[in-house]
Amino acid sequence: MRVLSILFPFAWRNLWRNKRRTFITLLVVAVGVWSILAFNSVIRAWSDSALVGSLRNMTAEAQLHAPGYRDDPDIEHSFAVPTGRLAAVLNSPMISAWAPRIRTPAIIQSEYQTLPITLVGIQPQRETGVSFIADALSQGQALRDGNDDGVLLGRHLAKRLNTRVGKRIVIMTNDAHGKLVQRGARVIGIYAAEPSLEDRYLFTGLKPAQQFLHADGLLSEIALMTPAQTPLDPVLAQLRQAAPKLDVAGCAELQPMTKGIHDLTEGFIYVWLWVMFVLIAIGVVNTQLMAVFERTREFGLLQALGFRPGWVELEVMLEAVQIIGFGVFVGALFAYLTVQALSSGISLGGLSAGADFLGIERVLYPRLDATEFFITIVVIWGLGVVTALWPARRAARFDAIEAMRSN
Amino acid sequence: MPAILECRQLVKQYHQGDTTVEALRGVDVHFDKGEFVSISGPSGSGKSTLLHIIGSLEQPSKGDVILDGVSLAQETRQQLADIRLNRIGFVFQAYNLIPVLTAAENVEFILQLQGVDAKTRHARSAELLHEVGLDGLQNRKPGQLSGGQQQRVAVARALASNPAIVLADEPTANLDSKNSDELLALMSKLNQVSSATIIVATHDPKVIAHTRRHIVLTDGRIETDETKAA
Repeated sequence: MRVLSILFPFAWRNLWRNKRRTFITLLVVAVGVWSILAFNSVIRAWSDSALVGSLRNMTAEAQLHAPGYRDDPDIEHSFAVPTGRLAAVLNSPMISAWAPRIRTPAIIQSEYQTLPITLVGIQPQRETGVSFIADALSQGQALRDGNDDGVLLGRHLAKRLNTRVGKRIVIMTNDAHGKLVQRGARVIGIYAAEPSLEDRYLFTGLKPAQQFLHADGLLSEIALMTPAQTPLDPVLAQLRQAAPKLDVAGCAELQPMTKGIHDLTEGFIYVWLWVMFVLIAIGVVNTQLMAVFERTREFGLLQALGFRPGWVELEVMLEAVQIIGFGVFVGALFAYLTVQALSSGISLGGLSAGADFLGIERVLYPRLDATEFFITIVVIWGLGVVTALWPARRAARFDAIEAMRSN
Repeated sequence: MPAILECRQLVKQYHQGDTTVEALRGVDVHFDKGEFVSISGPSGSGKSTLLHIIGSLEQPSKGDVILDGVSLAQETRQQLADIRLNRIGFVFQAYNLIPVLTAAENVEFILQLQGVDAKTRHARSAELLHEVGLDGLQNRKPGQLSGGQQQRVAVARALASNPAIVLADEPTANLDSKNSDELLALMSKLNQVSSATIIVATHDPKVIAHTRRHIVLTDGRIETDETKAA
């Protein structure tokens, strides 16, 4: 401890012998750390937005279906409105929101066009926090409740059908008994979402949809969300216990592609971290080696004066601890300030059409996760110091006489 | 006077490819406490090698150095570092001060490593810098001092921890005549004041004239070892 207290200020002074080199090293470390943390928060905001967007499209975090529905999404594969143990689990604090739906492939017809769609009967209040439809209205009015027999069309679908709010359309499909049924309905609202969603989904109240399909009291699916930071697997396990005859699937199973892209983005963040870290390490090792070879004579002198070899190594390591620590601090501070400055949201502005297409929101909200922030700092600092071991060992191995003969 | 330092049959060989160079060929010599000794000889005679082996900076190929009853050949690298820190002072031809430390800090550095408290350290460095005539320059860094002043700081540093021996390798080689005279007078005075044995490797006749005992090395062997009458 005594030696450390002597060598710490000694190392600090040595660090500033070559101010230019020290500033360059500081810059490399600080920019590296800043880019890792700031870039990470933006990419993560993008990735999370894409995932949330995708989940909110219609998938949610998990769904319950009748067995076979996922292979053949037809009204024949339906199940009864939940009661008893399943209802208790769905209404427990481990689930933040859940929405019952009935959905079936159908045909929609306007005066001008006939197109395939998916008819979805919903309870609009329950869709809040579960799917996009709760806040996607762009024209007209939303569904009042699950008894509302009006329909909501996607903006693009309305355009293709050449219809608008207030006009009537005809829906045709097979009912629960396999018979062809059709009914007229008034378009009460137009919603805006991803183009593929706008083309695909037509929403109406759950009750009128059940009646239309002759499926009173039946559902095609229940979509659910959990509170933030809640691990999904235990929730799925509880649901499977509560409804052993239903097919309970998480989002990774329902949308493997989306999950895969999210995981790939996470992987990219780590690749970026390692690329930047390698750059930092090269910078640190180079500078430390230069500093060591410039001071070869001095290391010989220190040994002659009674420095133990370990103290020489410790001195060089302390220089690395200080310069990397300082650089990491500066980089982390700027990253924090950058993310704070962007925390009110990065508007994708003119890219909004592209954003819709990619399924991300139009405003990204970068944030720094405290645990991840500190772990990144500690890992970069720690690994950076480890890379300085090599130059430090070189310095400790100098032969005192040979070292003092060098210029 | 008891012998503070004994060199027993020191042999040092350097291998350069297939060639073996013998820098020391069986040097047998002892030094008493408080002696002021000069070692001279032509270039390549082994003066510096002898000094380095005595200072435990190099290991002999054969033979041993006994410092105050301790065989240096038996010591580990770390123990030898501790011996240099506590028992040996060095003065080099090229001053070799630590550039980031002031004159006072250079003197105090070894005391600091020895664990001497700050008050004692400051007092000791002030006393030594006064002795070497550098009052008022204690806060200057080596780059702000002349060659002669730097060498005086190096002498003060060498004596800071009251070492048993002080080894000086060509201490006047980089100094002008005036500074050389002043440094020699200073070393003589400090030799009398302290109990340290001072061993100087030199070509300089003035240095030899200041020492009571003079050893001449030729081809790695002691040619003469003379002590002037008191």
